[in-house]
Amino acid sequence: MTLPDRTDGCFEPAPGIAWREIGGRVVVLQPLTDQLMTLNATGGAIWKRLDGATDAAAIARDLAAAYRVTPDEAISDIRTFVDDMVSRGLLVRRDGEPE
Amino acid sequence: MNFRDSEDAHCGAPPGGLFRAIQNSHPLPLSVVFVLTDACHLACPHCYNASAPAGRGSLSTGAIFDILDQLAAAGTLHLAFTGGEPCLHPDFDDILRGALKRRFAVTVKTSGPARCIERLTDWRAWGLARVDCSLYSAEPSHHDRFVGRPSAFVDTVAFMRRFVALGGRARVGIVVMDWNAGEVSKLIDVCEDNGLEWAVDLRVSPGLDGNMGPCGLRADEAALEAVLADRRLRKGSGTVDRTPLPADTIVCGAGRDTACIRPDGEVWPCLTLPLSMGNLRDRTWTEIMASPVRQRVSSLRWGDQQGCVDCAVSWACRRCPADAFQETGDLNAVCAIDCLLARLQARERGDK
Ligand code: SF4
Ligand code: SF4
Repeated sequence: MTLPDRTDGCFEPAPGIAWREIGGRVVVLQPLTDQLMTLNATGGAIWKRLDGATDAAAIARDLAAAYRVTPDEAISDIRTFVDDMVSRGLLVRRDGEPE
Repeated sequence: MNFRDSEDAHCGAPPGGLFRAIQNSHPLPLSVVFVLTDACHLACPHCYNASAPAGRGSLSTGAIFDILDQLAAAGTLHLAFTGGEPCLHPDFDDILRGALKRRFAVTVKTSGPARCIERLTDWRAWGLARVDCSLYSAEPSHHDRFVGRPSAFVDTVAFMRRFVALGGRARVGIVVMDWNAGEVSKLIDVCEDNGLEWAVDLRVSPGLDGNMGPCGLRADEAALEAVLADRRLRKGSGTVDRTPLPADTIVCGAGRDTACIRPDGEVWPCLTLPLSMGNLRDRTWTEIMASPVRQRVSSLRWGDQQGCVDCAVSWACRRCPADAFQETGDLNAVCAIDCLLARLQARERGDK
């Protein structure tokens, strides 16, 4: 499985991004813009694993097992999700460089 | 694939939309105010905190981290550090960084001490997004005299400008009093000229020991009306719903949506309501959130006060149980200042 560069590596919430799991949903707050977002179950499952130490391939293996999808399906969803969150400034690569 | 259910704005704005919906489905406060210290380098005469009870000594920094862990586990999303002057806490940097690492949205309510300006670069890099400061006059010497410190105005403005230059948000709180009511519009100009957000507070609260001294600084009706005439205060007031509030309306978020932790670990329903719900030295956050005091305060309803149910301007009212308690000992009392402010707000929005 080959990941495109943009989602390769380990990601984590950008500095200052607040988040909690409330009532089974992941809630993400960007305090600079006041944007508050609730993630659905899939997004929340990915977000919780983005700890800056686990790469996308490992998350894909984990989710594929948990959700009974193929690793390729999982990696595709993770790539879409990370792309979206990085473009919103909510995620950064572990080295701290915004994408 | 769609990963988002919905989006909304919060922080600074009155809780609404998604934040309100999340809070309504969550039994514990999403927003907590943490008074890190009562120590302050200023001496503002209207300060409600100046008469704060001495308490049981300050929490250790280790105990503060333990509390932050408990809050994070309980779902608290927004944390405001205040004081006194929170930046004077000897371990403020560690505490701030610890809170940001625990993924709170943090606001620091500070006067912006000069010696902290050089710390702002690190604070921003760690993720601090917002600082709130107070200014009381557009005339630096008036401000400095009021807070009892030469160069305080210049220091505070420099602090906020630096924070904004680093990409953060800085908001000026403008408390309207008898002596500065005529300067509010000019002060808003100063904020806007410096790229600072601002919020006008028409209320001066009693001291935490019930000392009514600060209330003597309240502006009178004519002065408040003149302040409200500034159209910039009508942010977002497009269509106004003038329906009287139903009897089961929650009076405010005290204890329910928010709570306040004092420097000695006491937990109150809000920053200005000195009713102990418990102490974090003795009990966990979750245990304290089950306290009868919290149940009582968070169950206050508009209909508990008959006069308020029948009131024609209740839609414009921000009745404050803390002020009522401090002034009368009764959380449900009607304070003259609440009625005056509601009347003025209603009039300003076109109600005759
Ligand atoms: S204006 Fe006075 S009487 Fe009317 S709702 Fe507010 S506190 Fe109650
Ligand atoms: S008691 Fe007053 S100050 Fe406290 S949250 Fe309620 S309205 Fe605000």
